[in-house]
Amino acid sequence: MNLIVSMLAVLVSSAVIENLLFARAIGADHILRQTRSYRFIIEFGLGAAVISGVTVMPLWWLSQTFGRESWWNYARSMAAVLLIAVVSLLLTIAMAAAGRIQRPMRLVDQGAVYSASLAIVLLSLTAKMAFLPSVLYCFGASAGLAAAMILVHAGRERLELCVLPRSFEGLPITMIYIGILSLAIYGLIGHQLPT
Amino acid sequence: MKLRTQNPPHIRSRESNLTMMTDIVIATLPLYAMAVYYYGTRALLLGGFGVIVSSLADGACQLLAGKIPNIRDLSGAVTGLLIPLLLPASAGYSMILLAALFGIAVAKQPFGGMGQNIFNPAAAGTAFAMICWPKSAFAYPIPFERLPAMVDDTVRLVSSPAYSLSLGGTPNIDLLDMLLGNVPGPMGGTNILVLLTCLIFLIVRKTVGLAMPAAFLGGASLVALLTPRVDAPALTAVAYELMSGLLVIGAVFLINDPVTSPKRTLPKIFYGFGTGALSVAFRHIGRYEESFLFALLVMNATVWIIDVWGEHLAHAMRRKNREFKTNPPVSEPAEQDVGAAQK
Amino acid sequence: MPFVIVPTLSLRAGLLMSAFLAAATIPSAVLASLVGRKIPPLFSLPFYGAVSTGCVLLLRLCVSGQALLLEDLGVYVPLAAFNGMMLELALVHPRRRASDALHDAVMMCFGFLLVAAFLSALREFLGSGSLWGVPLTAPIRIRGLVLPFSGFILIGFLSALFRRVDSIIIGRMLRASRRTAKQGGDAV
Repeated sequence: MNLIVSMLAVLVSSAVIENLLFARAIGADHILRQTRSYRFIIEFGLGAAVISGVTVMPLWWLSQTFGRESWWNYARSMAAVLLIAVVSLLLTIAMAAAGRIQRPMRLVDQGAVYSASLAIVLLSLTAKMAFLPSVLYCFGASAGLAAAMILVHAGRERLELCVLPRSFEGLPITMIYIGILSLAIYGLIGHQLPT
Repeated sequence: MKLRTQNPPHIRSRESNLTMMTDIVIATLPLYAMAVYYYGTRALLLGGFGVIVSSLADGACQLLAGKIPNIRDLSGAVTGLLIPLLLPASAGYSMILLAALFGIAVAKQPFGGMGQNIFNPAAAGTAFAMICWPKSAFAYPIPFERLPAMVDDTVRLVSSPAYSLSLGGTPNIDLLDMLLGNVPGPMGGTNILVLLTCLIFLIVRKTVGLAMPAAFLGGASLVALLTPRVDAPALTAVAYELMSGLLVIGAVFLINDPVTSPKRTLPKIFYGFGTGALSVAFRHIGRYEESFLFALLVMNATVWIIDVWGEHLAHAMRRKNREFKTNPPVSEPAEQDVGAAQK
Repeated sequence: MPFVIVPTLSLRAGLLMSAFLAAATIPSAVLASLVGRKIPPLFSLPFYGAVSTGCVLLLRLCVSGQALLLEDLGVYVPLAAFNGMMLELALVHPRRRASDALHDAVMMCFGFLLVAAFLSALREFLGSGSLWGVPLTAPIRIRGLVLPFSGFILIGFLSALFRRVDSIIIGRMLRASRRTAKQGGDAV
């Protein structure tokens, strides 16, 4: 029972308290340009979850082995980038073989998935948790990021109905919208996160 | 040919923006009267300062946007009146200034101004002030201790019942005192009886409906009942939860904002219930002793989704109703009738 | 975008973040103009990602003495390898000539530097009451400026301000050109 509660706590904290978008602004530029539909956001979230969840497994083991070495801080980032590349390549091949890909993903979208997955993996390793919580952290953070992007996308749909001052259309009003939401979530949860 | 716009002659309603805002201004007057009774004329100074700053900010933003400032629009004044009521009577003028500026210039005007804002300006401005000055925002003067116009270190500030609840303790205050407002707390948030009277006034004037405040208080009560923070009988715990903090003033003035709340009745109930439940739920784990304003801002962001699903539900119900009327279900004949027919 | 919103809490942090972004962007942009066409699209992102990460880590090694600053920047240092400028110049619209790529990358990074410097100076001065670590007396202390939400809001307003100024300048240029064209037409 304690295990289930602690796992749930990891999931909730990674999705809500340490929300990538509202607390760390990761994914903010992607949501401005790329999110075209709710389905796309969900696919983005799933992709980030799978890639980061699979990547963190060998990296966690490597952290346990080499974590005390002085060069590990440098090697960790490079290892994460290369592993993410391998995992995403394998995922792309697997989905193409299963006939689930109608057209190749745009490079910018791929870059956004890479960036989000890298952030999730590095944050998971920095937190120095056990194996299962680290993996759950990745899934929770991806789910939280997708939920945050859905909320912002809904806000952008609402903003299309407003007659905005011309200077505020697009990027400025979206940033202000995310800022007020981030203020609200900080007020609800409220702790300063380490970067 | 010069074209003039005017209201269609077949639409007649006494209600307008001005009447609604006037009703709300009138509803805040008893709260200010009680605040003056408890804390002195500083309460009026804060209210007046808030109104001036908000109205000027509103006008300036409209000018910058190339519009003519609307003098008859009292929405800026309403924001300026509400912000001091959500803060302590000892709040500094700079806090009121920045809260009003944030509410108008960040949460309202960039979104298109009156009628188009997604977030409640008073809630956003006060939330910003709470985060920037948490010590000042959650330290309250004692009622009946007259405050000078400029508050200094000699003024005694104490914590509110909400703080005691957040620590898991039972407030050492009689429930009757909490009802009458004889407790330290937000300037307009402690006078529960007066607030309920204001709510009745607004409902009778049809400025607000009953659905949202009732659902809001219902949601808050339910969560308070299920997760009490004090070691007291259930109803007492719920009463402490509801009467501490900003829940009641939020139910009267903030949750009912027609611009930032849903349009249909069922979504309104869902919105109110969700805001109440979220406010009380996050009192358990939140950083601050009061979570209502932050919960309201989060729910403001979900209003669009709630409205869309409300429309889908309304259309589905209308369709079902129409199908039922055009093709009513045929009832099977009774056995006696069948027997009689056979004979 | 996240690099200018969250880590720019002090002027030094903002400038260091700009340096990391430049280290990630400029080599990748130049490399893309030189060898970009020879790399298959499937491997282009991992390739440029690895190159950017290598450059960022090299710079991190050079500034490893600034341990406190690096701790403040945290996860944004390795993330700088996948910034939007790098993606734009190396993947989406790689330049044909190395000189164009270098020019565009340097100008983009300079633009980021200006914005990051302004924002971080403002947030440090009004939020923390100091500038470049030197305590100063600010007219008002707004604690909320050191939190992420203020970064979003400040970027929104800064962007709106730039658009407004842009529209005023373009409007004046258009009016001047119309006036010139009209005068030219009258002369004819």
